[in-house]
Amino acid sequence: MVTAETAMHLRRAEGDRSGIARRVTLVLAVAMVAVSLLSLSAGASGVSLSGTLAALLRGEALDPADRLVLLQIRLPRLAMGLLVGAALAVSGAVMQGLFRNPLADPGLVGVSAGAGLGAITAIVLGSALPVGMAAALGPHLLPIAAFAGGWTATMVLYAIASRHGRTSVATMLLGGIALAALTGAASGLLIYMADDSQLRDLTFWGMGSLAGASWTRLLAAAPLMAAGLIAALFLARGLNGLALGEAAAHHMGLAVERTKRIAILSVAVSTGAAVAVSGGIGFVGLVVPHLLRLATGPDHRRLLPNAALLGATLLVLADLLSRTIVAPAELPIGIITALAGGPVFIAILLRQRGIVDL
Amino acid sequence: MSLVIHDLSVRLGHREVLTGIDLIACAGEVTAIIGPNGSGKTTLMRAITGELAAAGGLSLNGRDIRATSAAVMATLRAVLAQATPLAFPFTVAEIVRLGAEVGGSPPTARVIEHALARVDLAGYGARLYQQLSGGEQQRVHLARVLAQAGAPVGPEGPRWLLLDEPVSALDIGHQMMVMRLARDFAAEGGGVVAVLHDLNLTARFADRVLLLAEGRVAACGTPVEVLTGPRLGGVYDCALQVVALPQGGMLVAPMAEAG
Ligand SMILES: Nc1ncnc2c1ncn2[C@@H]1O[C@H](COP(=O)(O)OP(=O)(O)OP(=O)(O)O)[C@@H](O)[C@H]1O
Ligand SMILES: [Mg+2]
Repeated sequence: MVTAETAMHLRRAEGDRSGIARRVTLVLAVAMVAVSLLSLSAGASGVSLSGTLAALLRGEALDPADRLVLLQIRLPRLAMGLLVGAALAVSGAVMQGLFRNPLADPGLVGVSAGAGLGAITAIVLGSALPVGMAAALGPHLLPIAAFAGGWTATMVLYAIASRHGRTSVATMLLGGIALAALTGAASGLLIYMADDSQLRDLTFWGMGSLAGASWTRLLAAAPLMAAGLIAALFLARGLNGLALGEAAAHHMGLAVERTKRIAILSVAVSTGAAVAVSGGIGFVGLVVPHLLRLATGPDHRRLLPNAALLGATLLVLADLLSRTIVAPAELPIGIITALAGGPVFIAILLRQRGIVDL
Repeated sequence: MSLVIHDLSVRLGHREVLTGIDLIACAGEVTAIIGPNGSGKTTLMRAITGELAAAGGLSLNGRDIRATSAAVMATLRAVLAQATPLAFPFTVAEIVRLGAEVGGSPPTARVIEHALARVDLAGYGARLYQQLSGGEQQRVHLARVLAQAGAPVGPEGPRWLLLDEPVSALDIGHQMMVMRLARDFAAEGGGVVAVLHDLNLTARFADRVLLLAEGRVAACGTPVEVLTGPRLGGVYDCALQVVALPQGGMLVAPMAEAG
């Protein structure tokens, strides 16, 4: 029974959006499940959702061919889409909180560029590897190289931006821009050296796609993305404090330096892994946190989990579109996120212009 | 229980910004720090909050400030900085809530609304911070700081408000309101240290005054001892007179310009 006193206790102050944010979490979770089921049911082969569900519910065995499509193609692809979407959106939100700037994004500080350089190196110079080694690495070469690139970029950036255990956000931002430019130049050089078939691979990877998803690749990338996501969930209070400035965060008793360090690591790990398996999928990290801040406010305790849910949902939806619009062919998913994300982002900027000085 | 500063020096870059500062501020009193621009008031506050490395003694309620964790310090004192750059579009209620959470009291609607009412912002909870006037924004942060501080006396002894220019953006009515809040907090057993530029508010509300000039203590004592015409005139480099008012108290005013 709800007494008058607990009702008083549960009442939220006018302007406190934490109640709405909680309900949004619920809605997003439902949406994610719905989109996931839709994604499982759609595709070039004729496996249908209702048939699948009915079979699962009745405990019946699926047709072996359907089973193969579901378990070996659609399910890993769905899992990859969910994880990559969550990783990109949460990395964006964490980076924005860290830099206290709604325009910050892992793409901005060179982490994505570093991972990209690793991937490009693998595509262009991979054939120069000793035959035995290339064969042993096989399809893992590209993700491994991208992890390495993203990780190196983050480490270099960290060495530039932090001294005596303190991290200067301004130095990190500027260092990141310089790093992205350098990495871009190196990537350009490699692309210049590439032959025609490598160029096709490069273009396809660069536009972003989940087409290569498999359990093997998922197993290589998922632990990293999961670790980054889990670390991010512990950052909420620290990032809330940072929104009031480093001094105020310190006054409010928050471990400012530790928050910054964990934030950097979390972003490096999840972005590196996401870029490795999916290439250049842009705008998710920029647009998702923006939309959520508009709807439910900037409190990171709700923003981070909601960003994970919305990012996952949107990416799976984009992947679904990319597979169905020009079926049986596929559009790179990066094209769809950019087509949808770009205008939304500009619209947000125009709306916000009067409210927040970016 | 008190704030004890002994022979404190602070270097920023290659400059020694503060030299040999001594101060004892007692709970139950309002201590004002005054001095010209650049005299080191904010630097002293930042040393007291533990943000800056400083040489010398620095303790609050008997605890060495620099040996105490940020989390523990946050339960002993709440700080209003001279400026607070807010990054994202929070509502007023959400900002105050952040303070209330630190203070340990559950951030209920009542706590938030009470803090807002104390700074005359009742009904402002749903407004976006960025859409408020400068003085309203300053009072939002004051409400956040009050919510963090909670009761003037906690289980660990008196709590402290450290306020760097809390009334710099406020009209005279709200200046009086905020200074009364500070005085009531002290009267109930808490400690208040406030940087002020208004010498008349200082004369009226401070129990002790620390006058800084070029990073050193120019004078320290009661308002009557510190606020004298010739001394203020020398430190602020302008001709000032201090007039005793018939109903008690005093008024600091510029001398009439000659000719
Ligand atoms: N990071 C810094 N590096 C070097 N010098 C600094 C730094 N910060 C402040 N200073 C200098 O230290 C002196 C004291 O600064 P402080 O901010 O404490 O002054 P203040 O008394 O609070 O002034 P105001 O009344 O303008 O707020 C000034 O001369 C200032 O230029
Ligand atoms: Mg100052």
